[in-house]
Amino acid sequence: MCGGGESLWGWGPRVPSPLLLLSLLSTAPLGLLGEETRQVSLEVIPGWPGLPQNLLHIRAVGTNSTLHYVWSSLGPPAVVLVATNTPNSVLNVNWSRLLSPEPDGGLMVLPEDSIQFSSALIFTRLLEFDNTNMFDVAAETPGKPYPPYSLAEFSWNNITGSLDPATLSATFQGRPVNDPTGAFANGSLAFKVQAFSRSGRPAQPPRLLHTSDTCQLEVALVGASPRGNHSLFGLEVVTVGQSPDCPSMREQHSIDDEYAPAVFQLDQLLWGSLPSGFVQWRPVAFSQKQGSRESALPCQASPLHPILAYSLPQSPIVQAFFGSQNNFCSFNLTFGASTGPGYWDQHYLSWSMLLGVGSPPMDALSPLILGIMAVALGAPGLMLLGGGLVLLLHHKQCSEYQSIN
Amino acid sequence: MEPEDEEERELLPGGPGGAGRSRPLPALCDPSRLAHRLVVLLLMCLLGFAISAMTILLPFRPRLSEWGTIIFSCFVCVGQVVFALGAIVNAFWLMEFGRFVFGIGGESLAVAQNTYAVSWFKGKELNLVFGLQLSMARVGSTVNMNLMGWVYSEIEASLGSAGHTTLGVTLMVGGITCVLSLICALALAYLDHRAERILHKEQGKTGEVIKLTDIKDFSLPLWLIFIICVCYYVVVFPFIGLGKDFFMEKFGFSSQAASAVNSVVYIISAPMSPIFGLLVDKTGKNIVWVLCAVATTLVSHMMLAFTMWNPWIAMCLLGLSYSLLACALWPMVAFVVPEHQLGTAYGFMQSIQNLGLAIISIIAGMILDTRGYLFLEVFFIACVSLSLLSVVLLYLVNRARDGNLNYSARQREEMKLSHTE
Repeated sequence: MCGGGESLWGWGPRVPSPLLLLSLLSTAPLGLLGEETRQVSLEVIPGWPGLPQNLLHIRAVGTNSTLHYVWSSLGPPAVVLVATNTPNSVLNVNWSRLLSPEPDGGLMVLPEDSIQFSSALIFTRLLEFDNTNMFDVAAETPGKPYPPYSLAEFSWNNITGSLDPATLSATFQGRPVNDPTGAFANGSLAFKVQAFSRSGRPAQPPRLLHTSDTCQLEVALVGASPRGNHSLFGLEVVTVGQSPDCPSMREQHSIDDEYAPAVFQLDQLLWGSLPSGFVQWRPVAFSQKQGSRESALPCQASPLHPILAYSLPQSPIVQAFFGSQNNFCSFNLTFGASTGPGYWDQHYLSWSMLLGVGSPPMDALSPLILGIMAVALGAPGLMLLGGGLVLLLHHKQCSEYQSIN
Repeated sequence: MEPEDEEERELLPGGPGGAGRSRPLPALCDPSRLAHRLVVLLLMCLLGFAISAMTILLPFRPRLSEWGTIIFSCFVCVGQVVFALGAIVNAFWLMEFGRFVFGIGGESLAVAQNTYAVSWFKGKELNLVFGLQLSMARVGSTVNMNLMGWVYSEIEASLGSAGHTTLGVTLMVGGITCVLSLICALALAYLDHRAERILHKEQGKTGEVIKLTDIKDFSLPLWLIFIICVCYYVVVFPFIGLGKDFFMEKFGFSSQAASAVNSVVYIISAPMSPIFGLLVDKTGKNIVWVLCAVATTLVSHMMLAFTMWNPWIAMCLLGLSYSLLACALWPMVAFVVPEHQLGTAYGFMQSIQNLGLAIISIIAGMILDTRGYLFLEVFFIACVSLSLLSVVLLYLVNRARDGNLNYSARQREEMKLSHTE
């Protein structure tokens, strides 16, 4: 379905191996740095007074590791993910350096030698394609591209207002600074970030299973006017890594679509061999707030390819943490198809992903299904056995009487 | 009519019925000749094809005459036109009303087919006729599945938009087969009337008078047969209705490939129904065959639910087991029910089967929207398991009561001979 970098059939060559079947049967996924729960704190780091600078620091502390997620809308929306092997690591922010033209060293996690893994994701552009008269779903591009919106040129709200300690979430909401056509007059692009202290599954589709080692991002485009009757939107995502190779993208096909009806695939982006960082999402977006099967849009991910730094909008926090020598790889996500539901229905589009460290959480068959299967397969067998026994005994009794005659 | 009478009549130069005919009719036009009966068979099959091509089922079984057939054919045509109109003007209630009218005519037309078949082929090629009628009906369903999508896309391309208008026009085009059904009904009515006039024959009495009070006389094996029937068919038809998306999403099939694999159940049952009918006739042991069919369906659904194996395998198995079950299950009713209650029994079986299909179709849609395909498949597996449980129970009850449901063909022959002595 999606054009990923590598396509791996996560369930083996068409036969579920016993190991995978066992993993299906396991219930609670373990937090994969070994942590089942974490203490999560959200902190908006105050910048210069008077300027809406958004720097959100999520610190998830476990028994012997800490995860730092630094979300920011300085420049394009970006997240720096750092995993350390001590519960005592802290984030150090030097605002004057961060806001200067050379932000290197403006962001640091101390102690530096406790860092096990670090990477970043940048959301650089909002893409739009004209899909009219495109009945060929297998085409390379989803349509003629309109000029993309650069997310570095958006103005963002102050997230302190949207911070919710109960659900551990915050929302970045933005619209273009220069909007000559008024497309975003009544609309906005929102990035809702949510952290978790334990594993669970939200009620909102696509119901991605999360652990304490992950946080969830929901991207929602609401109310913006499309530039055509049949516009498909997309998002350009850039990954940052130390090695010259791009992270690998995998499509996991499974038999289980219990939590995302009619979606049998799970896409993953892995930075390296496990355990390292990952991004996980279901290739589906929704055109209604409630999110149901009838409002589900397919989501296509293009293959990852390396990209040069100068062709990207610069992200100060990425440069602040990683310095100037970095390898960037980008891929495009496109939401929707030529037929079926689309953004045009209600001017609403939402897509969710998980960002975390360790092994990506895998869905397992729910106990209800296992219970039904046990009864469905067991009952006829037991009936046959029981009935056969009864008949046998009855037959023996009858034959005893006959022997007297 | 007995074959001996017919041969005698053909030997007489004066033609049948003693009506004083001066010259014999050509074979195709003579109602007593096989060639003519084959023409009539063709028309009956086309009638069934046309119905099945658009069918929805509704229980309704009155006494029939030729005029009844024509009236119900008109119901079918009018219903389809109203259905299409409802789509064109985007009024869902009108579409529902159209389907309702269609349904009144459609199912009764199926009964008309059976009546005609018994009337023309009783004591001759009746088993083959029933098998062929079932085959043609399934071919009709297959053609519908594979053709309507193509018709829709062609109309969409020419009209330039997808939407309710395109849907309505497509349905109107489909209504052409309903007109075909009406033409066949008229032709059959004419031929039947003519045959009656020439051969002075009466309508074959099939004991189709329905007495609802008969229901309290139904025995336990019969009720078990009803349960098997309902629980089995709700696993086949609603699944095929929702199957196309399943194959596209889970197995990555294209739209055409998904339609093709979806319709393979009907394609297989078209040739296999007569073959399995012959097989069950020759070997008897109906319960064992029903057990095999239900177990195979269970295996097929488990393959579709829990593996990523090529769905062609599972769907072919489903097609084979569906054909086998039809041949083995329906005759069992005749073994447990006295002749004067046979009409009521078959009518009741058909009615609750349709009721089950209607209810389960709605439930299946709800399950799919909230819980996805895996849960839906598990639900279907549970239904098949219920059917399997009933078969096992039927076998045990039959064994305990020394019933005749599981006799081999030889035992049945012996029973028949010992009764006639």
